[in-house]
Amino acid sequence: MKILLVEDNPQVSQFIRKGLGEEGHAVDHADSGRDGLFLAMNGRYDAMVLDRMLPDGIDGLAIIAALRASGNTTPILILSALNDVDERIRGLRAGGDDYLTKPFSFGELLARLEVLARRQAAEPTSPTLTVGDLRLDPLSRKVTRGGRAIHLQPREFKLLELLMRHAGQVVTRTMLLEGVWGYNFDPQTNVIDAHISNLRQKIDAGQPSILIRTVRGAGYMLSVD
Amino acid sequence: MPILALPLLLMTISPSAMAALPSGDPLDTPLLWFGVAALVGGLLGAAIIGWFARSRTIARLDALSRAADALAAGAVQHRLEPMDDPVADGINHLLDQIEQLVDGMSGVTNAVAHDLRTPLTEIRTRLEGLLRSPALSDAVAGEVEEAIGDIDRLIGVFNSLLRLAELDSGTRRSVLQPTDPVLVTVGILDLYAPLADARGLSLTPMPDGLAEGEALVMADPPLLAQAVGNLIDNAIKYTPRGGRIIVQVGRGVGTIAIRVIDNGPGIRAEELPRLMRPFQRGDGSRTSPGSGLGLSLVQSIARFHGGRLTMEDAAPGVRAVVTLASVLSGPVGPQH
Repeated sequence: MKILLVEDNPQVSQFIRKGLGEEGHAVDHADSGRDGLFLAMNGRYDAMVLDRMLPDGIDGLAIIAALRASGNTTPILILSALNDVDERIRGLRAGGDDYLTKPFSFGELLARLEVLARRQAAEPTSPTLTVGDLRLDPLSRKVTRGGRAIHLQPREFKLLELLMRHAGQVVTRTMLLEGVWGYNFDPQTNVIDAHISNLRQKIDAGQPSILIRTVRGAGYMLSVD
Repeated sequence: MPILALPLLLMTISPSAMAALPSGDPLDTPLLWFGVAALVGGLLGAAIIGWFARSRTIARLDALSRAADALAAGAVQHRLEPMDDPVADGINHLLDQIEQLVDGMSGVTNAVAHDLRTPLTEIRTRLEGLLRSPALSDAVAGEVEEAIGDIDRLIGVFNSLLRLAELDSGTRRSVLQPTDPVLVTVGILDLYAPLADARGLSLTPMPDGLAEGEALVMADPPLLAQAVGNLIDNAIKYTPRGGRIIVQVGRGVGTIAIRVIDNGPGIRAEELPRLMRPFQRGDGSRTSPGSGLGLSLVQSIARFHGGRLTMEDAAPGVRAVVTLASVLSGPVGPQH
Protein backbone atom coordinates (compact mmCIF):
# COMPACT_ATOMS: atom_id res chain seq x y z
CA MET A 1 0.00 0.00 0.00
CA LYS A 2 1.02 3.61 -0.48
CA ILE A 3 0.23 5.61 2.61
CA LEU A 4 0.35 9.30 3.43
CA LEU A 5 1.26 10.11 7.02
CA VAL A 6 0.73 13.64 8.33
CA GLU A 7 2.13 13.84 11.84
CA ASP A 8 4.19 16.55 13.49
CA ASN A 9 5.53 14.52 16.41
CA PRO A 10 8.88 13.09 15.20
CA GLN A 11 8.81 10.09 17.57
CA VAL A 12 5.31 9.05 16.57
CA SER A 13 5.99 9.52 12.85
CA GLN A 14 9.25 7.60 13.02
CA PHE A 15 7.58 4.72 14.82
CA ILE A 16 4.78 4.55 12.24
CA ARG A 17 7.13 4.84 9.24
CA LYS A 18 9.41 2.16 10.56
CA GLY A 19 6.52 -0.21 11.29
CA LEU A 20 4.75 0.33 7.96
CA GLY A 21 8.07 0.05 6.13
CA GLU A 22 8.74 -3.32 7.75
CA GLU A 23 5.32 -4.46 6.60
CA GLY A 24 6.25 -3.57 3.03
CA HIS A 25 4.19 -0.39 2.69
CA ALA A 26 5.49 2.84 1.13
CA VAL A 27 5.03 5.91 3.31
CA ASP A 28 5.08 9.58 2.36
CA HIS A 29 5.46 11.74 5.41
CA ALA A 30 4.56 15.39 6.02
CA ASP A 31 5.16 17.04 9.36
CA SER A 32 2.91 20.04 8.87
CA GLY A 33 -0.68 20.59 7.81
CA ARG A 34 0.35 22.75 4.87
CA ASP A 35 2.74 20.14 3.48
CA GLY A 36 0.26 17.35 4.26
CA LEU A 37 -2.54 19.10 2.40
CA PHE A 38 -0.24 19.61 -0.60
CA LEU A 39 0.71 15.93 -0.76
CA ALA A 40 -2.85 14.77 -0.10
CA MET A 41 -4.27 16.89 -2.92
CA ASN A 42 -1.58 15.99 -5.44
CA GLY A 43 -0.61 12.39 -4.70
CA ARG A 44 -2.45 9.09 -5.04
CA TYR A 45 -2.62 7.04 -1.87
CA ASP A 46 -4.33 3.85 -0.73
CA ALA A 47 -4.90 5.34 2.71
CA MET A 48 -3.99 8.36 4.82
CA VAL A 49 -3.10 8.67 8.48
CA LEU A 50 -3.73 12.21 9.70
CA ASP A 51 -2.92 13.68 13.07
CA ARG A 52 -5.91 15.56 14.43
CA MET A 53 -3.90 18.46 15.79
CA LEU A 54 -1.15 20.03 13.71
CA PRO A 55 0.82 23.15 14.52
CA ASP A 56 0.47 25.45 11.52
CA GLY A 57 -3.23 26.25 11.45
CA ILE A 58 -4.23 23.49 9.01
CA ASP A 59 -5.21 20.56 11.20
CA GLY A 60 -6.27 17.04 10.29
CA LEU A 61 -9.95 17.99 10.02
CA ALA A 62 -9.15 20.87 7.66
CA ILE A 63 -7.22 18.50 5.37
CA ILE A 64 -10.12 16.04 5.37
CA ALA A 65 -12.61 18.80 4.61
CA ALA A 66 -10.50 20.04 1.68
CA LEU A 67 -10.01 16.52 0.31
CA ARG A 68 -13.65 15.54 0.54
CA ALA A 69 -14.73 18.86 -0.98
CA SER A 70 -12.52 18.05 -3.98
CA GLY A 71 -14.18 14.65 -4.37
CA ASN A 72 -11.21 12.64 -3.05
CA THR A 73 -12.46 9.51 -1.29
CA THR A 74 -9.16 8.01 -0.07
CA PRO A 75 -9.77 6.23 3.25
CA ILE A 76 -8.55 8.35 6.17
CA LEU A 77 -7.63 7.30 9.67
CA ILE A 78 -7.50 10.11 12.21
CA LEU A 79 -4.95 9.97 15.03
CA SER A 80 -5.78 11.98 18.09
CA ALA A 81 -4.70 12.46 21.67
CA LEU A 82 -8.30 13.37 22.47
CA ASN A 83 -10.33 10.38 23.56
CA ASP A 84 -13.64 12.11 23.66
CA VAL A 85 -16.86 10.85 22.12
CA ASP A 86 -17.67 14.30 20.71
CA GLU A 87 -14.20 14.59 19.23
CA ARG A 88 -14.55 11.16 17.63
CA ILE A 89 -17.93 12.06 16.17
CA ARG A 90 -16.55 15.36 14.85
CA GLY A 91 -13.70 13.52 13.14
CA LEU A 92 -15.98 10.98 11.49
CA ARG A 93 -18.53 13.62 10.48
CA ALA A 94 -15.80 15.64 8.83
CA GLY A 95 -15.25 12.66 6.54
CA GLY A 96 -12.71 10.56 8.42
CA ASP A 97 -13.21 6.78 8.12
CA ASP A 98 -11.71 5.67 11.42
CA TYR A 99 -10.38 7.22 14.58
CA LEU A 100 -7.54 5.97 16.76
CA THR A 101 -6.59 7.49 20.09
CA LYS A 102 -2.94 8.02 21.04
CA PRO A 103 -1.12 6.17 22.32
CA PHE A 104 -1.94 3.14 20.19
CA SER A 105 -0.10 -0.06 19.44
CA PHE A 106 1.30 -0.46 15.97
CA GLY A 107 -0.68 -3.68 15.48
CA GLU A 108 -3.91 -1.75 16.07
CA LEU A 109 -2.96 0.90 13.51
CA LEU A 110 -1.89 -1.66 10.92
CA ALA A 111 -5.03 -3.75 11.32
CA ARG A 112 -7.26 -0.71 10.92
CA LEU A 113 -5.36 0.62 7.91
CA GLU A 114 -5.59 -2.72 6.11
CA VAL A 115 -9.31 -2.88 6.80
CA LEU A 116 -9.79 0.66 5.47
CA ALA A 117 -7.79 0.07 2.31
CA ARG A 118 -9.60 -3.21 1.66
CA ARG A 119 -12.98 -1.54 2.17
CA GLN A 120 -12.03 0.98 -0.50
CA ALA A 121 -10.82 -1.70 -2.94
CA ALA A 122 -13.68 -4.15 -2.48
CA GLU A 123 -16.21 -3.97 -5.25
CA PRO A 124 -19.74 -4.90 -4.29
CA THR A 125 -19.82 -8.58 -5.26
CA SER A 126 -22.26 -11.27 -4.22
CA PRO A 127 -23.60 -10.60 -0.71
CA THR A 128 -22.65 -14.10 0.46
CA LEU A 129 -19.31 -14.23 2.28
CA THR A 130 -17.15 -17.29 1.66
CA VAL A 131 -13.91 -18.33 3.34
CA GLY A 132 -12.83 -21.86 2.46
CA ASP A 133 -15.86 -24.08 3.04
CA LEU A 134 -17.45 -21.56 5.40
CA ARG A 135 -20.33 -19.56 3.95
CA LEU A 136 -22.33 -16.75 5.53
CA ASP A 137 -25.35 -15.10 3.95
CA PRO A 138 -25.98 -11.71 5.60
CA LEU A 139 -29.50 -11.52 4.16
CA SER A 140 -30.94 -14.89 5.11
CA ARG A 141 -28.58 -14.97 8.14
CA LYS A 142 -27.65 -18.58 7.30
CA VAL A 143 -24.22 -19.98 8.03
CA THR A 144 -22.91 -23.27 6.66
CA ARG A 145 -19.59 -25.05 6.87
CA GLY A 146 -18.94 -27.81 4.34
CA GLY A 147 -22.63 -27.55 3.41
CA ARG A 148 -23.80 -28.30 6.94
CA ALA A 149 -25.93 -25.61 8.64
CA ILE A 150 -24.53 -23.97 11.76
CA HIS A 151 -26.86 -22.29 14.20
CA LEU A 152 -25.45 -19.07 15.69
CA GLN A 153 -26.76 -16.66 18.30
CA PRO A 154 -27.34 -13.14 16.85
CA ARG A 155 -24.18 -11.82 18.52
CA GLU A 156 -22.08 -14.75 17.31
CA PHE A 157 -23.40 -14.11 13.81
CA LYS A 158 -22.27 -10.46 13.94
CA LEU A 159 -18.88 -11.49 15.27
CA LEU A 160 -18.37 -14.06 12.51
CA GLU A 161 -19.61 -11.64 9.86
CA LEU A 162 -17.05 -9.05 10.96
CA LEU A 163 -14.23 -11.63 10.96
CA MET A 164 -15.30 -12.88 7.51
CA ARG A 165 -15.52 -9.39 6.02
CA HIS A 166 -11.89 -8.97 7.07
CA ALA A 167 -10.77 -12.49 6.25
CA GLY A 168 -7.00 -12.73 6.06
CA GLN A 169 -6.57 -9.58 8.16
CA VAL A 170 -5.94 -9.18 11.85
CA VAL A 171 -8.99 -7.92 13.72
CA THR A 172 -8.13 -6.58 17.17
CA ARG A 173 -10.26 -7.00 20.29
CA THR A 174 -10.86 -3.25 20.33
CA MET A 175 -12.15 -3.41 16.75
CA LEU A 176 -14.53 -6.24 17.67
CA LEU A 177 -15.81 -4.34 20.71
CA GLU A 178 -16.48 -1.32 18.52
CA GLY A 179 -17.86 -3.19 15.54
CA VAL A 180 -20.07 -5.74 17.27
CA TRP A 181 -21.13 -4.00 20.49
CA GLY A 182 -20.50 -0.33 19.70
CA TYR A 183 -18.39 0.17 22.83
CA ASN A 184 -15.25 2.26 22.79
CA PHE A 185 -13.87 1.26 26.17
CA ASP A 186 -11.74 -1.71 27.10
CA PRO A 187 -13.40 -3.93 29.68
CA GLN A 188 -11.26 -4.74 32.71
CA THR A 189 -11.26 -8.42 31.88
CA ASN A 190 -10.78 -9.82 28.41
CA VAL A 191 -14.38 -10.64 27.56
CA ILE A 192 -13.85 -11.13 23.83
CA ASP A 193 -11.84 -14.34 24.18
CA ALA A 194 -14.86 -16.09 25.70
CA HIS A 195 -17.04 -15.06 22.72
CA ILE A 196 -14.40 -16.26 20.27
CA SER A 197 -14.06 -19.51 22.14
CA ASN A 198 -17.82 -20.12 21.81
CA LEU A 199 -17.69 -19.27 18.12
CA ARG A 200 -14.78 -21.69 17.61
CA GLN A 201 -16.83 -24.46 19.19
CA LYS A 202 -19.45 -23.99 16.49
CA ILE A 203 -17.22 -23.21 13.51
CA ASP A 204 -13.99 -25.13 14.01
CA ALA A 205 -14.68 -27.99 16.44
CA GLY A 206 -14.39 -31.37 14.67
CA GLN A 207 -13.32 -29.79 11.39
CA PRO A 208 -10.21 -30.94 9.51
CA SER A 209 -8.92 -27.34 9.26
CA ILE A 210 -9.11 -24.42 11.64
CA LEU A 211 -10.35 -21.06 10.36
CA ILE A 212 -10.38 -18.78 13.43
CA ARG A 213 -6.82 -18.10 14.54
CA THR A 214 -5.42 -16.12 17.44
CA VAL A 215 -2.74 -13.70 16.35
CA ARG A 216 -0.36 -13.33 19.25
CA GLY A 217 -0.32 -9.94 20.91
CA ALA A 218 -2.77 -8.54 18.37
CA GLY A 219 -6.16 -10.19 17.98
CA TYR A 220 -7.79 -12.72 15.66
CA MET A 221 -7.77 -13.62 12.04
CA LEU A 222 -10.14 -15.73 9.98
CA SER A 223 -8.27 -17.41 7.15
CA VAL A 224 -7.64 -20.59 5.20
CA ASP A 225 -3.99 -21.51 5.83
CA MET B 1 -33.19 44.08 59.98
CA PRO B 2 -35.43 46.51 58.07
CA ILE B 3 -38.28 44.00 58.11
CA LEU B 4 -38.82 44.59 61.88
CA ALA B 5 -40.13 48.06 61.14
CA LEU B 6 -42.89 46.82 58.86
CA PRO B 7 -45.75 46.13 61.35
CA LEU B 8 -44.89 49.23 63.35
CA LEU B 9 -45.17 51.23 60.20
CA LEU B 10 -48.49 49.58 59.40
CA MET B 11 -49.84 50.53 62.82
CA THR B 12 -48.65 54.09 62.64
CA ILE B 13 -50.09 54.57 59.22
CA SER B 14 -53.50 53.25 60.28
CA PRO B 15 -54.84 56.31 62.23
CA SER B 16 -53.81 58.80 59.59
CA ALA B 17 -55.27 56.63 56.90
CA MET B 18 -58.46 56.48 58.93
CA ALA B 19 -58.60 60.25 59.21
CA ALA B 20 -58.48 60.48 55.46
CA LEU B 21 -61.71 58.53 55.11
CA PRO B 22 -64.83 60.20 53.77
CA SER B 23 -66.64 61.86 56.69
CA GLY B 24 -70.13 60.67 55.62
CA ASP B 25 -69.53 57.18 56.96
CA PRO B 26 -70.28 56.20 60.59
CA LEU B 27 -67.17 56.84 62.62
CA ASP B 28 -67.11 53.77 64.83
CA THR B 29 -67.25 51.23 62.00
CA PRO B 30 -64.04 52.27 60.20
CA LEU B 31 -62.34 52.68 63.57
CA LEU B 32 -63.22 49.13 64.46
CA TRP B 33 -62.21 47.94 61.04
CA PHE B 34 -58.93 49.67 61.32
CA GLY B 35 -58.26 48.27 64.74
CA VAL B 36 -58.87 44.83 63.32
CA ALA B 37 -56.83 45.60 60.23
CA ALA B 38 -53.94 46.88 62.33
CA LEU B 39 -54.09 43.81 64.52
CA VAL B 40 -54.22 41.47 61.55
CA GLY B 41 -51.50 43.48 59.85
CA GLY B 42 -49.36 43.29 62.96
CA LEU B 43 -49.83 39.56 63.31
CA LEU B 44 -49.25 39.04 59.64
CA GLY B 45 -46.14 41.22 59.81
CA ALA B 46 -44.83 39.26 62.79
CA ALA B 47 -45.53 36.03 60.98
CA ILE B 48 -43.76 37.36 57.91
CA ILE B 49 -40.70 38.44 59.94
CA GLY B 50 -40.67 35.12 61.71
CA TRP B 51 -41.00 33.30 58.43
CA PHE B 52 -38.30 35.39 56.81
CA ALA B 53 -35.91 35.01 59.73
CA ARG B 54 -36.55 31.31 59.94
CA SER B 55 -36.38 30.74 56.21
CA ARG B 56 -33.17 32.76 56.08
CA THR B 57 -31.60 30.61 58.75
CA ILE B 58 -32.90 27.50 57.04
CA ALA B 59 -31.67 28.76 53.70
CA ARG B 60 -28.19 29.28 55.16
CA LEU B 61 -28.19 25.84 56.72
CA ASP B 62 -29.47 24.42 53.42
CA ALA B 63 -26.70 26.17 51.53
CA LEU B 64 -24.15 24.80 53.98
CA SER B 65 -25.53 21.30 53.76
CA ARG B 66 -25.63 21.51 49.96
CA ALA B 67 -22.01 22.65 49.93
CA ALA B 68 -21.06 19.74 52.18
CA ASP B 69 -22.97 17.29 49.96
CA ALA B 70 -21.38 18.72 46.84
CA LEU B 71 -17.93 18.43 48.38
CA ALA B 72 -18.60 14.86 49.45
CA ALA B 73 -19.79 14.09 45.91
CA GLY B 74 -16.56 15.46 44.52
CA ALA B 75 -17.74 18.89 43.30
CA VAL B 76 -14.86 20.86 44.77
CA GLN B 77 -15.78 23.92 42.69
CA HIS B 78 -19.03 24.47 44.63
CA ARG B 79 -19.10 27.66 46.77
CA LEU B 80 -21.60 29.25 49.16
CA GLU B 81 -23.40 32.40 47.97
CA PRO B 82 -21.64 35.40 49.51
CA MET B 83 -24.14 36.63 52.12
CA ASP B 84 -22.20 39.34 53.98
CA ASP B 85 -21.54 36.53 56.34
CA PRO B 86 -18.19 35.74 57.92
CA VAL B 87 -19.19 32.06 58.25
CA ALA B 88 -19.84 31.75 54.50
CA ASP B 89 -16.60 33.56 53.71
CA GLY B 90 -14.66 31.29 56.05
CA ILE B 91 -16.16 28.17 54.53
CA ASN B 92 -15.55 29.42 50.99
CA HIS B 93 -11.93 30.06 51.90
CA LEU B 94 -11.67 26.50 53.19
CA LEU B 95 -13.26 25.20 49.97
CA ASP B 96 -10.72 27.21 47.94
CA GLN B 97 -7.91 25.44 49.73
CA ILE B 98 -9.49 22.02 49.26
CA GLU B 99 -9.97 22.69 45.56
CA GLN B 100 -6.31 23.68 45.17
CA LEU B 101 -5.20 20.51 46.94
CA VAL B 102 -7.47 18.28 44.87
CA ASP B 103 -6.44 20.01 41.62
CA GLY B 104 -2.77 19.67 42.48
CA MET B 105 -3.14 15.99 43.24
CA SER B 106 -5.19 15.08 40.18
CA GLY B 107 -2.84 17.19 38.06
CA VAL B 108 0.12 15.09 39.14
CA THR B 109 -1.74 11.81 38.65
CA ASN B 110 -2.88 13.00 35.24
CA ALA B 111 0.57 14.01 34.12
CA VAL B 112 2.07 10.72 35.29
CA ALA B 113 -0.63 8.66 33.58
CA HIS B 114 -0.39 10.68 30.39
CA ASP B 115 3.40 10.69 30.16
CA LEU B 116 3.78 7.00 30.93
CA ARG B 117 1.28 5.80 28.35
CA THR B 118 3.48 6.75 25.41
CA PRO B 119 6.66 4.89 26.44
CA LEU B 120 4.50 1.92 27.42
CA THR B 121 2.96 1.86 23.96
CA GLU B 122 6.44 1.98 22.44
CA ILE B 123 7.54 -1.01 24.53
CA ARG B 124 4.39 -2.81 23.42
CA THR B 125 5.15 -2.13 19.77
CA ARG B 126 8.72 -3.45 20.17
CA LEU B 127 7.39 -6.63 21.72
CA GLU B 128 4.82 -7.00 18.94
CA GLY B 129 7.65 -6.70 16.44
CA LEU B 130 9.54 -9.42 18.29
CA LEU B 131 6.48 -11.69 18.09
CA ARG B 132 6.44 -11.37 14.31
CA SER B 133 10.00 -12.59 13.93
CA PRO B 134 9.88 -16.21 12.68
CA ALA B 135 12.96 -17.31 14.65
CA LEU B 136 11.11 -17.11 17.98
CA SER B 137 10.66 -20.36 19.90
CA ASP B 138 7.20 -21.09 21.30
CA ALA B 139 8.43 -20.72 24.87
CA VAL B 140 9.90 -17.26 24.23
CA ALA B 141 6.86 -16.21 22.22
CA GLY B 142 4.68 -17.20 25.18
CA GLU B 143 6.77 -15.04 27.52
CA VAL B 144 6.63 -12.08 25.14
CA GLU B 145 2.88 -12.48 24.91
CA GLU B 146 2.62 -12.45 28.71
CA ALA B 147 4.67 -9.26 28.79
CA ILE B 148 2.34 -7.67 26.24
CA GLY B 149 -0.59 -8.68 28.44
CA ASP B 150 1.06 -7.00 31.45
CA ILE B 151 1.64 -3.82 29.50
CA ASP B 152 -1.96 -3.83 28.30
CA ARG B 153 -3.10 -4.02 31.90
CA LEU B 154 -0.85 -1.09 32.84
CA ILE B 155 -2.11 0.97 29.90
CA GLY B 156 -5.63 0.04 31.03
CA VAL B 157 -4.90 1.40 34.52
CA PHE B 158 -3.61 4.66 33.09
CA ASN B 159 -6.57 4.96 30.74
CA SER B 160 -8.91 4.46 33.70
CA LEU B 161 -7.03 7.09 35.72
CA LEU B 162 -7.28 9.57 32.87
CA ARG B 163 -10.96 8.85 32.38
CA LEU B 164 -11.53 9.30 36.11
CA ALA B 165 -9.77 12.67 35.99
CA GLU B 166 -11.75 13.65 32.91
CA LEU B 167 -15.06 12.75 34.57
CA ASP B 168 -14.28 14.29 37.95
CA SER B 169 -12.96 17.55 36.57
CA GLY B 170 -15.97 17.94 34.29
CA THR B 171 -13.78 18.29 31.20
CA ARG B 172 -15.59 15.46 29.45
CA ARG B 173 -18.06 17.18 27.21
CA SER B 174 -20.80 14.81 26.52
CA VAL B 175 -24.43 15.19 25.72
CA LEU B 176 -26.63 13.14 27.97
CA GLN B 177 -29.52 11.71 26.01
CA PRO B 178 -32.72 9.94 27.02
CA THR B 179 -31.57 6.34 27.41
CA ASP B 180 -33.34 3.10 28.24
CA PRO B 181 -31.29 1.67 31.15
CA VAL B 182 -32.71 -1.80 30.47
CA LEU B 183 -31.29 -1.77 26.92
CA VAL B 184 -27.92 -0.70 28.30
CA THR B 185 -27.88 -3.61 30.75
CA VAL B 186 -29.07 -6.07 28.08
CA GLY B 187 -26.12 -5.10 25.86
CA ILE B 188 -23.54 -5.41 28.60
CA LEU B 189 -25.02 -8.68 29.90
CA ASP B 190 -24.61 -10.02 26.40
CA LEU B 191 -20.95 -8.96 26.40
CA TYR B 192 -20.19 -10.65 29.71
CA ALA B 193 -22.36 -13.78 29.38
CA PRO B 194 -19.72 -16.07 27.79
CA LEU B 195 -17.07 -15.02 30.32
CA ALA B 196 -19.42 -15.73 33.24
CA ASP B 197 -20.29 -19.03 31.59
CA ALA B 198 -16.62 -19.97 31.23
CA ARG B 199 -16.12 -19.22 34.93
CA GLY B 200 -19.04 -21.45 35.90
CA LEU B 201 -21.23 -18.55 37.01
CA SER B 202 -24.86 -17.86 36.28
CA LEU B 203 -25.30 -14.28 35.06
CA THR B 204 -28.93 -13.38 34.49
CA PRO B 205 -31.32 -10.45 34.52
CA MET B 206 -33.75 -10.51 37.41
CA PRO B 207 -37.16 -11.64 36.11
CA ASP B 208 -39.11 -9.10 38.18
CA GLY B 209 -37.07 -6.09 37.03
CA LEU B 210 -38.26 -3.42 34.61
CA ALA B 211 -38.59 -4.43 30.97
CA GLU B 212 -37.42 -2.59 27.87
CA GLY B 213 -39.29 0.64 27.30
CA GLU B 214 -40.41 0.97 30.92
CA ALA B 215 -37.75 3.36 32.13
CA LEU B 216 -35.76 6.31 30.83
CA VAL B 217 -32.73 8.09 32.26
CA MET B 218 -30.50 10.87 30.91
CA ALA B 219 -27.23 9.16 30.08
CA ASP B 220 -24.14 8.83 27.94
CA PRO B 221 -24.98 5.23 26.91
CA PRO B 222 -21.45 3.78 26.39
CA LEU B 223 -20.31 5.38 29.63
CA LEU B 224 -23.25 3.93 31.54
CA ALA B 225 -22.56 0.56 29.90
CA GLN B 226 -18.96 0.77 31.11
CA ALA B 227 -20.18 1.42 34.67
CA VAL B 228 -22.53 -1.57 34.66
CA GLY B 229 -19.82 -3.63 32.93
CA ASN B 230 -17.31 -2.82 35.67
CA LEU B 231 -19.79 -3.90 38.33
CA ILE B 232 -20.40 -7.20 36.52
CA ASP B 233 -16.64 -7.59 35.97
CA ASN B 234 -16.12 -7.12 39.68
CA ALA B 235 -18.84 -9.59 40.61
CA ILE B 236 -17.38 -12.19 38.21
CA LYS B 237 -13.91 -11.74 39.75
CA TYR B 238 -15.07 -12.24 43.31
CA THR B 239 -17.78 -14.86 43.00
CA PRO B 240 -16.55 -18.45 43.18
CA ARG B 241 -17.48 -21.07 40.58
CA GLY B 242 -21.11 -22.15 40.83
CA GLY B 243 -22.15 -18.72 42.09
CA ARG B 244 -24.90 -16.48 40.86
CA ILE B 245 -24.94 -12.89 39.64
CA ILE B 246 -28.17 -11.03 39.09
CA VAL B 247 -28.59 -7.75 37.23
CA GLN B 248 -31.79 -5.86 37.80
CA VAL B 249 -33.21 -2.50 36.80
CA GLY B 250 -35.76 -1.27 39.31
CA ARG B 251 -37.74 1.89 39.98
CA GLY B 252 -37.63 4.01 43.13
CA VAL B 253 -39.28 7.36 43.88
CA GLY B 254 -38.24 9.44 40.87
CA THR B 255 -35.19 7.25 40.43
CA ILE B 256 -33.99 4.22 38.51
CA ALA B 257 -31.68 1.75 40.25
CA ILE B 258 -29.39 -0.60 38.34
CA ARG B 259 -28.41 -3.39 40.71
CA VAL B 260 -25.69 -5.99 40.34
CA ILE B 261 -26.02 -8.57 43.08
CA ASP B 262 -23.74 -11.56 43.64
CA ASN B 263 -23.80 -14.36 46.16
CA GLY B 264 -20.05 -14.51 46.60
CA PRO B 265 -18.19 -14.23 49.90
CA GLY B 266 -19.21 -10.59 50.31
CA ILE B 267 -17.28 -7.80 51.97
CA ARG B 268 -17.23 -6.72 55.61
CA ALA B 269 -19.56 -3.74 56.13
CA GLU B 270 -16.74 -1.48 57.34
CA GLU B 271 -14.79 -2.16 54.16
CA LEU B 272 -17.62 -1.24 51.79
CA PRO B 273 -17.13 2.54 51.58
CA ARG B 274 -13.35 2.15 51.26
CA LEU B 275 -13.73 0.05 48.11
CA MET B 276 -14.88 2.97 46.00
CA ARG B 277 -11.65 4.89 46.58
CA PRO B 278 -8.99 4.62 43.87
CA PHE B 279 -6.56 1.71 44.32
CA GLN B 280 -8.44 0.34 47.35
CA ARG B 281 -9.42 -3.28 47.13
CA GLY B 282 -10.90 -5.84 49.44
CA ASP B 283 -8.78 -7.52 52.08
CA GLY B 284 -6.11 -10.19 51.48
CA SER B 285 -8.62 -12.93 50.73
CA ARG B 286 -9.40 -11.15 47.48
CA THR B 287 -6.28 -11.64 45.48
CA SER B 288 -7.78 -11.47 42.00
CA PRO B 289 -6.09 -9.34 39.38
CA GLY B 290 -7.50 -5.90 38.74
CA SER B 291 -6.55 -2.29 38.64
CA GLY B 292 -8.31 -1.28 41.85
CA LEU B 293 -9.91 1.49 39.81
CA GLY B 294 -13.05 -0.26 38.60
CA LEU B 295 -15.34 0.87 41.36
CA SER B 296 -13.94 4.42 41.52
CA LEU B 297 -14.69 4.66 37.84
CA VAL B 298 -18.26 3.44 38.38
CA GLN B 299 -18.66 5.99 41.15
CA SER B 300 -17.36 8.81 38.95
CA ILE B 301 -19.60 7.74 36.08
CA ALA B 302 -22.62 7.67 38.42
CA ARG B 303 -21.78 11.17 39.69
CA PHE B 304 -21.22 12.39 36.15
CA HIS B 305 -24.84 11.41 35.51
CA GLY B 306 -25.99 13.18 38.68
CA GLY B 307 -26.49 9.83 40.40
CA ARG B 308 -24.58 7.72 42.89
CA LEU B 309 -23.08 4.29 43.53
CA THR B 310 -23.78 2.43 46.74
CA MET B 311 -22.29 -0.88 47.82
CA GLU B 312 -24.21 -2.93 50.35
CA ASP B 313 -23.80 -6.23 52.05
CA ALA B 314 -26.31 -8.60 50.45
CA ALA B 315 -25.69 -11.33 53.07
CA PRO B 316 -24.30 -13.35 51.36
CA GLY B 317 -22.52 -11.43 48.66
CA VAL B 318 -22.52 -7.83 47.59
CA ARG B 319 -25.22 -5.60 46.16
CA ALA B 320 -23.85 -2.76 44.04
CA VAL B 321 -26.43 -0.16 43.06
CA VAL B 322 -26.16 2.72 40.60
CA THR B 323 -29.03 5.12 41.23
CA LEU B 324 -29.97 7.65 38.56
CA ALA B 325 -32.77 10.20 38.28
CA SER B 326 -35.67 8.85 36.25
CA VAL B 327 -36.84 10.94 33.33
CA LEU B 328 -40.45 9.76 33.35
CA SER B 329 -41.32 10.56 36.96
CA GLY B 330 -40.16 13.74 38.59
CA PRO B 331 -37.87 16.40 37.22
CA VAL B 332 -35.07 15.51 34.84
CA GLY B 333 -32.15 14.81 37.04
CA PRO B 334 -28.67 15.18 35.55
CA GLN B 335 -26.74 17.83 37.40
CA HIS B 336 -23.88 18.24 34.98
